[in-house]
Amino acid sequence: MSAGKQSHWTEKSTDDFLYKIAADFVRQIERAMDSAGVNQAGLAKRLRVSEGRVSQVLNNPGNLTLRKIVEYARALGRKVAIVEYDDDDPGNLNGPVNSEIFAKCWYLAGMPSDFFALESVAANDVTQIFGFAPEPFITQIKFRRRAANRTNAGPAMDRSAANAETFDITMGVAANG
Amino acid sequence: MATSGYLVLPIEGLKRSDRRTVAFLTKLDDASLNARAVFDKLDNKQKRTVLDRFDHWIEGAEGAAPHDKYFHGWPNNQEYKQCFVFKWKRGNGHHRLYGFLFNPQPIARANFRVCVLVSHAIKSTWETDPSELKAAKALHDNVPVIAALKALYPDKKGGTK
Repeated sequence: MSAGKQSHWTEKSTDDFLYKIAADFVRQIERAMDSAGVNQAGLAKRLRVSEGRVSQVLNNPGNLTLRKIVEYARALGRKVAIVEYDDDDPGNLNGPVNSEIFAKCWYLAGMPSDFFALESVAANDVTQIFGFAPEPFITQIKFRRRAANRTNAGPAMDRSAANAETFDITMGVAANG
Repeated sequence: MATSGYLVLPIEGLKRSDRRTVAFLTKLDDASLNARAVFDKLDNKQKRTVLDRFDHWIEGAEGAAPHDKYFHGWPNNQEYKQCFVFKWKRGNGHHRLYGFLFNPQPIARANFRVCVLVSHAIKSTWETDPSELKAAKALHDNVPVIAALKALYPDKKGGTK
């Protein structure tokens, strides 16, 4: 097995990194289209562009612009966030974290819409959080889903999580081994 | 371990995971094992498309709709349940990289899977050619191929395989 410190392929150029995160976004859009029963023709109609144009955009993620990202998400009634994070991988040995993982974490945290809601989750339900990256941090978090949140669950939310009263997320990240 | 000329080559630059990785199987005198040669000759745009699909599988995605257009296996087909394919489209050509899933480290990492890519094909339709799956399955069961895999990914001692 190769045990060297080979960088991830997205480290080769900004275009490569951009392609990867855009491709992750396209997969989120495709999943949203699937769950909403919207095909490319339907999405094209909502966007008032040709079906060929939609196909071109979805098949060439590297050409996506921020404007297009917002337009495609909003056409499906969704929203977009741009997330910056520190995963203790400054050399980019492991590539970007898939945006779907951030989305799932947000759903699992009860979909906090502001810092007060996030604080409430942290105060009431998080059992242990230690420090911040790049220090060794979060070992295990226990979230308790409130009944009110269940009815607000987004369509893309994992069904098993939506039905759970409580669930544990293990987010073991150990810096420097 | 006798590997009869089979060589397993990891793909550099992919995501690192204890659960999944992707590698190529080659053999000097076997032109049918052309997956690596084709991959190496892809232009940059196609290569990053394919690398992205490898990564997406390594991340833990399953080849279920709507993403079975990127890759999938045949888990419900008893004969070809270990076979796997990565797909991409270029113009009118439907490109495929066929291979098989194998765990060379059943003791150390019971959930580890290597997707061993063996052959490339261009189809005019999305239908799968069974001969590609037969060839991949034969390699999955081939003792020297298994030896080559275990040489690259050695297991802890104590296993029966």
